[in-house]
Amino acid sequence: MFRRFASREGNDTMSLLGNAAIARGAMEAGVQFVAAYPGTPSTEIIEALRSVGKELDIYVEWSVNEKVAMEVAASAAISGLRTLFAAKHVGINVAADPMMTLSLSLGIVGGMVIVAADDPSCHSSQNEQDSRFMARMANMPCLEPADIEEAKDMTSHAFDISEQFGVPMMVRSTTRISHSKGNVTLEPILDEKRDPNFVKDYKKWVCIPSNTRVNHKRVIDQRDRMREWLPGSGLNFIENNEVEKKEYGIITSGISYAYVKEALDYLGVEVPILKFGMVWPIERKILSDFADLVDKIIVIEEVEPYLETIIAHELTILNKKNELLGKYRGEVTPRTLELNGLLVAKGLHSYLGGNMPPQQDQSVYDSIIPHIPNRPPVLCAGCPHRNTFRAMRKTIGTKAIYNSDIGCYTLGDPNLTNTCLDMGGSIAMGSGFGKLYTDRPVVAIIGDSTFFHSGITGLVNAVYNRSRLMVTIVDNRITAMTGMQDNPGSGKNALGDAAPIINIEAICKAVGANYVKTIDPFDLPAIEATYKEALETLDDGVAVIISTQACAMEERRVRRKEGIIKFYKVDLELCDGCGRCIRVGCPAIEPSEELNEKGRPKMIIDPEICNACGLCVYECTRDAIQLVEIRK
Amino acid sequence: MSETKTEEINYQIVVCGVGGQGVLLLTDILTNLATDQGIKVRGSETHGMSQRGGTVLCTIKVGPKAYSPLIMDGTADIIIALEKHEALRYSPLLKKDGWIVVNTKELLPQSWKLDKEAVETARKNFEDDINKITPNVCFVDAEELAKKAGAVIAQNVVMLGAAAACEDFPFTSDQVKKTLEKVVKKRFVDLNLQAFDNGLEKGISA
Ligand SMILES: Cc1ncc(C[n+]2csc(CCOP(=O)(O)OP(=O)(O)O)c2C)c(N)n1
Repeated sequence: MFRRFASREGNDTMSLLGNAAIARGAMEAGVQFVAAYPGTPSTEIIEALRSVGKELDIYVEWSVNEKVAMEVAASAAISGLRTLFAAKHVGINVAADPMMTLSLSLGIVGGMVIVAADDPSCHSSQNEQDSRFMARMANMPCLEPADIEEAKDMTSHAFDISEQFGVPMMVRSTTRISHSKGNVTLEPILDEKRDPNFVKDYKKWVCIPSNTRVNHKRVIDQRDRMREWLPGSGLNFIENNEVEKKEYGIITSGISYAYVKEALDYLGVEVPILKFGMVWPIERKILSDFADLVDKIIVIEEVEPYLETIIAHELTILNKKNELLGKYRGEVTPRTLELNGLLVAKGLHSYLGGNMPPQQDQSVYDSIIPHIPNRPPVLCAGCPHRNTFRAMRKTIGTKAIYNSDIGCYTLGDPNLTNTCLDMGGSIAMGSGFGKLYTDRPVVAIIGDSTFFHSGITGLVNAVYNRSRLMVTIVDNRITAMTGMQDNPGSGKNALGDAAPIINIEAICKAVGANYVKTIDPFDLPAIEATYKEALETLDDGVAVIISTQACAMEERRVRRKEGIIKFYKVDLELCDGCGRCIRVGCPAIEPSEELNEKGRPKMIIDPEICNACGLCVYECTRDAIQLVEIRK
Repeated sequence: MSETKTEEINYQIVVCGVGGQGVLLLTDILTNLATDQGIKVRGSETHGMSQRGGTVLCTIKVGPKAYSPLIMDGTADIIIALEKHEALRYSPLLKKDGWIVVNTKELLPQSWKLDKEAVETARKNFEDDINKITPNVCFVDAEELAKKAGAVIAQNVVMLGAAAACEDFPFTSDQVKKTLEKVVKKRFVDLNLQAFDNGLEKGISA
């Protein structure tokens, strides 16, 4: 599979993940430099590129955060290299500062593509937001693929357009593109390596006001030239313009186009469709033609009524009077959550008629729903975060204000998770709360990757402003939530080479935290004692406890590779069914069929799931849980 | 298994289960299978949060009408459920009289471990519930059949075997096996072929 994905010749059709298709598009366009920070649903773009990085001589790095990644990428793009940056939608917020000025003033030399992966319905995100508005704000051209094949081709095309116009380009993906899978036809990889060639130019690369005033004007003129260039580009097209009934026409872009096609199939009707491949700037010619072709326009799109808003404005400029329907008022599709073919069919049916979407007998489903269990995501078996939460609950208690952050530990304990706003927000919000409340502890909980991402600045703030704050850094040596990416604490870089390990404890001490201690969360008595000690010092300044223990899943992978299998086992002779162990919430512990004298089940541990952390052993009062170790 | 011509195929598959059961690998096998036959395929996957003990849903659409990867309610041809209760969760996706191929393996969520009553009620009603959805159900003890093939982790491929026995499944078992040989790691090929056969046999006899 890997050989085929990395093939220089292409000439092959293979099944790829949408994100791998985007990566392949970049490879086919000769990308040489890649910088990003992980985030669902964009991560696998970089995972795919780093897997071929060495072989195809592409530099790939995990940067510490999206802002840094954007800046790192900018250096390569203004040196003439083809450069890729990718982030999830909220990562674009973090990168927005350099992105805006790069687009609105500096520009680039080598083609630069910024992939923004939006997550309608927040499958794995803290909000639903629409990156197309970010592109608009940056006056940055934006392509929106409707399918994975198109995602590959558009990414590749975007490099050419970006280079031609000297501006970074956004490619907006969504979860159903990035995390869809299907057959994609590969084309050859552009095998033309460039040497970096940064040409100093004070007026271009330095964003002082006098330069930017001039450059901003250039950017705006350029966007107008792009509008004129667009009609020949093939990026936007009209379908079904032959149909008879032209009361309604549909404007759409991205994956919504696919839903429209399915919905029309379903309804059995045909109406003209204008599909925008480039959603900024908007091609006026094709919009004008379409407005003349149909009476009323229905806009189908995901997340914000972006196209609807922009098109309303463009129609005014074009002096067209078509009625415009869409999602702004929720009349055709809902205002929140992702779309699908059925939602679009239902929305269109009121206007276009046709076959009614089949009505299902809801009562059947209603009668079985009570028998379907909820499965909220939980911490894995053996996750060291669980122990840290337990220690905090025991020593700090629930009266404190707990500010959590973004990572696996957000799932830790709802009672010890009182706020969660954004990456790095835990320490900074804690810094604020620590000024507001002195009658109770204020706690911040943050992961290692998140600490490097944007926790350090918050810590500086808390120390500088003398906040009364207790920080817990749950350091599992990896960026776990997004699928085990290395970070500055892991000792490896994105291309798999050894890297310096940045010392978190030394950072906290250097910043000037009053109390700093690293502990092992598997040593429960020690961690509890440390929390008690730290609590006594809060009046003297910021306290930081670094709870360091490798991610259980990563540990397991390494252990299994070495042929070692470790798990705990309950001796049912000794177990009295008290149920203390199962209450730690470990997914490996289950009630057995064997009952105690009160009719309560004795417990067993699933050896396939257990990661041998030993937390349950601390709970057992009868020494009924024993370690089993098998070497293969 | 059908003898349909490739250009006529439009087949929609739901694969569901719990994080860690190999739903993604099964999806991967199915999209590769269609690709190997030169038929358009689009599938959706769940990544991220849902993998941590959560429910996992993948939808696979095979054929020229696969524009998006998502399946509309009431249109799936088959549900392959790697965990018993998950078959019920996604049942609204199934078309009238579609097939459900369900692993009888039960994975208890945290909330049910100490709630005996909920578990008993669900178990008691399970067959009734599933028969309300469709008369075409194939129950498979995939854990047992995977163990027989050599490893419990091959349950997903056992389930693929059982699904391949359904009358309108658009691929032949030879086609599936060729793809398995390519997709699965070399040292696991024999095991997976056996797991597939075990499932197929169960499916045919069901
Ligand atoms: C701005 C932003 N960038 C990226 C993400 C994606 N993301 C979610 S959690 C996480 C990192 C978690 O790593 P860490 O802090 O080490 O905690 P762990 O999951 O390992 O416990 C990332 C990158 C995000 N939600 N927001």
